[in-house]
Amino acid sequence: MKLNDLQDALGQIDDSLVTEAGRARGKKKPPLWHKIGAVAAAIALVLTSIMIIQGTRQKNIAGSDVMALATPEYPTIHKRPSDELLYGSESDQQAYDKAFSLWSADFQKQRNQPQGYKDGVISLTRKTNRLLLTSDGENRVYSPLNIYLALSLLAETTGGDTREEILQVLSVDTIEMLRKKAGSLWQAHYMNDGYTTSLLANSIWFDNKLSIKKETMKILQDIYKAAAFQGDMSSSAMTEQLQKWLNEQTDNLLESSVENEGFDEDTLMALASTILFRARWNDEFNEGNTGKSIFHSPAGSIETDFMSESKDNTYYWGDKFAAICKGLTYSGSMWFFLPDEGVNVNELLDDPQVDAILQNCMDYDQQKFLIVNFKVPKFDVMSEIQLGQALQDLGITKAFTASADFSPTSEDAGLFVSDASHAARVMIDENGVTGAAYTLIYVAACKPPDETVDFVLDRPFLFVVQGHDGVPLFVGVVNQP
Amino acid sequence: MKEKLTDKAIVQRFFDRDEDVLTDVEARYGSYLFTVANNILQNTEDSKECVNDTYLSAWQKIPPHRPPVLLTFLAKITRGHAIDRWRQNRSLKRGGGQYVLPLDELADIVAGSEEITATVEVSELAVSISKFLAAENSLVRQVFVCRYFYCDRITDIARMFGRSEGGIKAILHRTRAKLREELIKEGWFYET
Repeated sequence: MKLNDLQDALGQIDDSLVTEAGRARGKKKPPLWHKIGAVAAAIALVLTSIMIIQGTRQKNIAGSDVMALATPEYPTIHKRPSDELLYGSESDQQAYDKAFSLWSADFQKQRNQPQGYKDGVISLTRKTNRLLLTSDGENRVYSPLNIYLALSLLAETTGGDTREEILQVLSVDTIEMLRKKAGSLWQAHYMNDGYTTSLLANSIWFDNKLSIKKETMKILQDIYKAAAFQGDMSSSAMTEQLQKWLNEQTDNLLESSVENEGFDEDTLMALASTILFRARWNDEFNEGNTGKSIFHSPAGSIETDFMSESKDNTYYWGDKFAAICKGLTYSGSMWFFLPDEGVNVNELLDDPQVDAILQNCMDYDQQKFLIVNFKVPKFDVMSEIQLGQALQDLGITKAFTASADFSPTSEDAGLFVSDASHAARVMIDENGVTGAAYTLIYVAACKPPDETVDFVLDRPFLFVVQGHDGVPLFVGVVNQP
Repeated sequence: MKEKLTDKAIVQRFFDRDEDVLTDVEARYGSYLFTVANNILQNTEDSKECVNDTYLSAWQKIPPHRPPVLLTFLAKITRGHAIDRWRQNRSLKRGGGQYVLPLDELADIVAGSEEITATVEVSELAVSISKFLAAENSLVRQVFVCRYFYCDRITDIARMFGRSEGGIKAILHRTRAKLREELIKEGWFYET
């Protein structure tokens, strides 16, 4: 082979590679990516969340043939050493200790955040539960954390009254305060240590015609680890890239929703935020105990697979419901709220007793430690929510009007939020690795239970997946498992 | 509202044989294509001629070709013309031999292989290189293409990606070595 052959071959490499690099070069060549001028413009807000309990795969952001203005750098987290290294046939105490100490330092760094950082999400959840989960017998699920972070991005890109309205909904007084809280939330919930997978990702998408302010871009990148992409938003390539990004961040689990997302000729900017969460039960369900049973959905009775276990647990009750909590290894817990017979599940969405349990179950009076005969249907619930009206109902109205202020992002006039959508999915099943730590602590601290209670989720129920710090990651209503 | 000057509309005008389209292409992409040529030729007159040759080639190729990204299509043509001219100049000792082109750095990839394989199908080699680059991370990919497709200066690439010049050189060095290994593995030539 001659040098000339190689030089010529490089001239014929795939178009996408030339385009990608060409766009990166375009950043220093203003004549190429010139501003065409402000036209009637729209901004799409895309929020996507996904939760899977269990699983081991992970995805990284892949390369894009759309110009990447910013590529986020995620924290490096050491893997938590397996107990096999401590107790297995090839145990190595020294190697375990070393690996554990590396993991522990990273883990603490992520988790140790200033007091009060999660208040805004909890407050937002109280405002949004009824708005987003009330249904006539359909499954509903959403991610409060995901919506909070996406609205934080929106607040960063807006100014004046437009921003003020958003800050109010996010329960902060200033944008600086929001940055601190959103940054802490991001840190506290980004984890990829081999036991917990909680991947948060943000991105911002611009049309070539939009002139962008670098300061805001830098904040989005530094605080929100946002990736940024620029291209011709009316092109199918840009829509394909957005869909690719969303599918990658959500491990293709929301493909059917993602395929409906895309840009049109009026779109000049889009904000996207995703969460991918995986955790394992502290105590897995025994697959041998799973069997068919009847679930009484509003649409009629359904025969479905129920997982069951009989274990000591704390049983909570309120005036309209009963509840139990099942732990997730190192990553929080999942609450199940079963409305009493004759009570509609929608009534629990803003029930103060539900809220009290979620905020501090230790101080809640109506609880008892006993043997719980727990039966829950295996479920895979998914819902798409058009957020536009809900956000306006919450008080974010200016962003949707022609007078919206997007000056921190661009001087181009006429930008406004045209649409906002949210898609989420939660699945549970028996599988997973048993972690002993949480269960052992509880057992050691309490007297052996002497009573039993049946807790059978055979009619519509509410669930809440809480992060390690109590932040509601996912809230949903299962009407049809 | 002013009609949008999109690539799609421009390409359609090529198909409609609207000669005025070349004026719009010049206005839109002329300066960019000039830098592509000038990075290789380091000569204003020659570079301008290359860009003009590009328009003529584009006029001949479209139709039937309908490029999905017009600028990429044009940049590839410009690069081809510029390299041809650069080789011509170099053989005539006209300017081209007086500076080291980024493309010369590629010599260490094919070192020792020139006598071994007589002919190479360039388009197939391009596919192999594309495949190799596609598997790299986006930074490596873009840095490599900026240097060896666009022939950008190390200083400019460093500024573009917010890295030090040393960092960019290290990326290029590593990637060249890796590409050499890959091409050997694929049987393009043998290690000597």
